[in-house]
Amino acid sequence: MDSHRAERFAEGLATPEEMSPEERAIEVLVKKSVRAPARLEPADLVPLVGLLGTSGALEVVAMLGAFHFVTRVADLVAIESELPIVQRRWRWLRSLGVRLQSRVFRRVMDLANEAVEVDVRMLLAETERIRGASLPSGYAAMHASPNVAAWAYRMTVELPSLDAAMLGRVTRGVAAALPASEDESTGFHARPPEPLDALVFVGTRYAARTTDEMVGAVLAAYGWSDAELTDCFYAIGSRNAFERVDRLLAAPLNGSSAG
Amino acid sequence: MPRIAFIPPRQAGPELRRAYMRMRETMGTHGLAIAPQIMQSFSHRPNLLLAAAEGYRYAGWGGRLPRATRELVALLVSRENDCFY
Repeated sequence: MDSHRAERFAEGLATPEEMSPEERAIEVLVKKSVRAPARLEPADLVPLVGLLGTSGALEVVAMLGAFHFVTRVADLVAIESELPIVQRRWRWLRSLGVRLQSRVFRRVMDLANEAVEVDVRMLLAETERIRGASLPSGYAAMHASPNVAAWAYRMTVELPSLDAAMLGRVTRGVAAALPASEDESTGFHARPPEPLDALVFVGTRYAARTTDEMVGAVLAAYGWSDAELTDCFYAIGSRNAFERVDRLLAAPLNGSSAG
Repeated sequence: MPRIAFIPPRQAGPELRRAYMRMRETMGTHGLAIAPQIMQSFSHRPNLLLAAAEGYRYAGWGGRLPRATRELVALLVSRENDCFY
């Protein structure tokens, strides 16, 4: 995508008329995944399956999950940018910084797509084992997209410092906090009184509002080290990814043939 | 200021140093010694650093979806989440 178009999308200036059908469908899906993820359902993928095929739609789902994870970790940890020049405050400097950052990454990273050859059946079985629960039936479509199965497997890790009770608490907290309406994703709402529950709530609904005080309250309550806090942030981020992915893949994918 | 103290590559112990090296291979940085801050945020858990890096690679590079489409998804999720990263 050229930088001018990317900037229009980033600033929310791109109009439906200038978007391709694929771009419009992706924007609709992403908006729902942020504003009302509790209501995500397999039917939300039907337009993308029609436009991009099953494997293309699954790859969009993986990127969507990956960036719900990345953005949450970034906001929980408080990372704004990889380069100091990327500043939120002044639009021209922000724009310059984003272009510079994009140019740097393009120079230092190989951006070509690559084939992924893995045993999908084994990866899904292992993902299921680590989760300790059956995968939604739509995961079976990942046989058409081995890289998506590999992504789901790789992101599903055991977190040593969070015992089953604590992990269950984060999982339930994320599911309960998922917004079901735009008001729930943008308005002001009472947070749970317990510090960890409050962090999970804010980290799920509007992670950009996370404050040092919220994280400090968790550290004061649990006495966690940086390693344990890392586990906690990872759990909040990954649960946010999979709560969305699981809802979208709650039923077998129908539509076009694979890929 | 980050809420977790990062351990940069030059201060990494053996396990973390191996994770950083593997991350560079995974992310295709042409051998350059860069470690994005988002990855350094996992530096206290080398296994999570690798999981995040490899997962990102599979989602961002695997398969056949055009690069521009992947970038659009990432950009829109960041924008809608009001995340500046």
